[in-house]
Amino acid sequence: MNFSYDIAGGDFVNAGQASSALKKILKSLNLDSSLIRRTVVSLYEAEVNVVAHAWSGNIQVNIQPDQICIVVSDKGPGINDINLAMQKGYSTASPEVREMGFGAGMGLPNIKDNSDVMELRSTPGEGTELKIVNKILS
Amino acid sequence: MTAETHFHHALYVDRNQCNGCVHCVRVCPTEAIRVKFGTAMIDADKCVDCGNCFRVCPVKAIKVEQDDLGTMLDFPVRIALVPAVFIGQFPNEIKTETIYGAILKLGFTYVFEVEHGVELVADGIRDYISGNPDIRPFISSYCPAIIRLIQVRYPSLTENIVLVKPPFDVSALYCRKHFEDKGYKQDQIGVFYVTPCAAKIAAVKSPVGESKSALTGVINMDFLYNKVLSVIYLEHGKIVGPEVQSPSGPAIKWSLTRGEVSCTSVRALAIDGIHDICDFLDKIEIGQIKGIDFLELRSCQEGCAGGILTAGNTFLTVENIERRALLETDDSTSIKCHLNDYRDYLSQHISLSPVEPRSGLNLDQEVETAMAKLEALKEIELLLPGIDCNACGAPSCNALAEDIVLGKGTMNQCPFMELLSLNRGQISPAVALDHAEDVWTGRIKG
Repeated sequence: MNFSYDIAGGDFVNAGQASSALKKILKSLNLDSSLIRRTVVSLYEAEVNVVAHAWSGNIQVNIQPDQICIVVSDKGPGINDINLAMQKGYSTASPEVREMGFGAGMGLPNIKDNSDVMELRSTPGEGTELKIVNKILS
Repeated sequence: MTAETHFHHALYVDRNQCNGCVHCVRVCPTEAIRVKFGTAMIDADKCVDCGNCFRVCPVKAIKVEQDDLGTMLDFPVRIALVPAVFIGQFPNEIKTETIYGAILKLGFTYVFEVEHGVELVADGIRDYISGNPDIRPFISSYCPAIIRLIQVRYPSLTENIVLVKPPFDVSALYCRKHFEDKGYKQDQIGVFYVTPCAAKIAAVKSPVGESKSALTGVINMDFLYNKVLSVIYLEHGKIVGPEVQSPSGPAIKWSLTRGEVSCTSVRALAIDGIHDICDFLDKIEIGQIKGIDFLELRSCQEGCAGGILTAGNTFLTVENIERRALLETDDSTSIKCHLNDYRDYLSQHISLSPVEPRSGLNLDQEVETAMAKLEALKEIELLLPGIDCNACGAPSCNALAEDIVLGKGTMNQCPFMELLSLNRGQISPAVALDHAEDVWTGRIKG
């Protein structure tokens, strides 16, 4: 089954709505609670990344009996050096943004920690596509 | 996933009094109530005993069960375990000694204040937090409605609950041990907790995190309030009570909002009101809120002073308790311990076993079947008007759609769908009336 959510760049107020909606769906499927938590935590980090860095974005969720696949794609500045971006503590956020509690450089590493498969592709100047897969163990 | 299959609840619907309105349906935090055949019905798997339904019922059809006090006399030792909130029900002009004296006149042999156990609990929480560096945020085990809410709605957060018994449990253990050491047998000691809420009744009758409660029974606070005031009036206030050794100031305020938070040095937050708590836990669960060490969550606003079985005005009660606490404190940050002689024994018994999730929200045990039901639910939801009018007896169109896929509801409960079917000539007006009777028995045809 498929679900789709749009994300508006810069809308910090509503960041987290897609994660909350997905959480409700996953709970109704009687999935393991730690799987649910890992999935929604990684989606929330992805949502915040789009809100903070991109102009607009979209989330596609596909749920199969054996896995949850999430693709978050955005139109935005993209990531110049993905390896660098994956390092804990690395962030391009300005000091002002860091003062607001964002940009600790933990977002992408946190997604990696909370997903079974994580794929990140980016074209600088155009946008970024993040794929997260979490396996459902029966 | 679920350890227990049967949950004891202290709230029930008096079908003779219920008029089938949907006030309770709207406020239930776990969507556990439906109106069918003209009366509210509570789903035992989902109910967390918060008592919101009781609060809003316009005809007082939601009842709280009450232990028969007559059985109390079977016990040679009859202990009333009284929380500070009970003392706070009475105006400050009535001395605590007088209240204790009135309780003894009602047949109890001993009165003990719950908050004497607070210091040990506070120590237990501190040790638990420092002993579990991987858990954040910790969630207090104080409010039994919140523990149950987490079991049903936030199963992944059950592991965040501090596995330390709340003060009323620890004080009950102390009372038992104290009288056992005096030579009484287990079955000669009756410990009765004076409860401000339904959730604590459920916690005694079907405890979570322990196999059996140390309490023998519960007395509803509104009931005892009436009895105590009657005795005081009958005796013209001239009751000579025992000398009262009060708990410390911080302990007296433990049951109020911020009671726990003000005694901890970690980054802690206090939230009261179960719906605000749900909003907050939703954010905690997706990782949106980080960096909080400890959450004090109380189902009722103003904590136990707002319990559904309290008699006094919530805010006056808070003020009474705060004033009393001021008198009992010389050092507002320290909590005196009155249970020092039993410290080792109680510390050994202070732990709760892990809290198991209750799977109240899933559509099916099997993922594939649940997915099929979810697909069907989404399609049904598209047909429904989406205005959450509650006229079908469910809390929302989404909840009705869920009922339908679970085989617990039908499309024709929705008056809008019925109008559509009538207009299309699919059903006759007589059939539509029959359908309406299934929800509002006696309201349509008289």
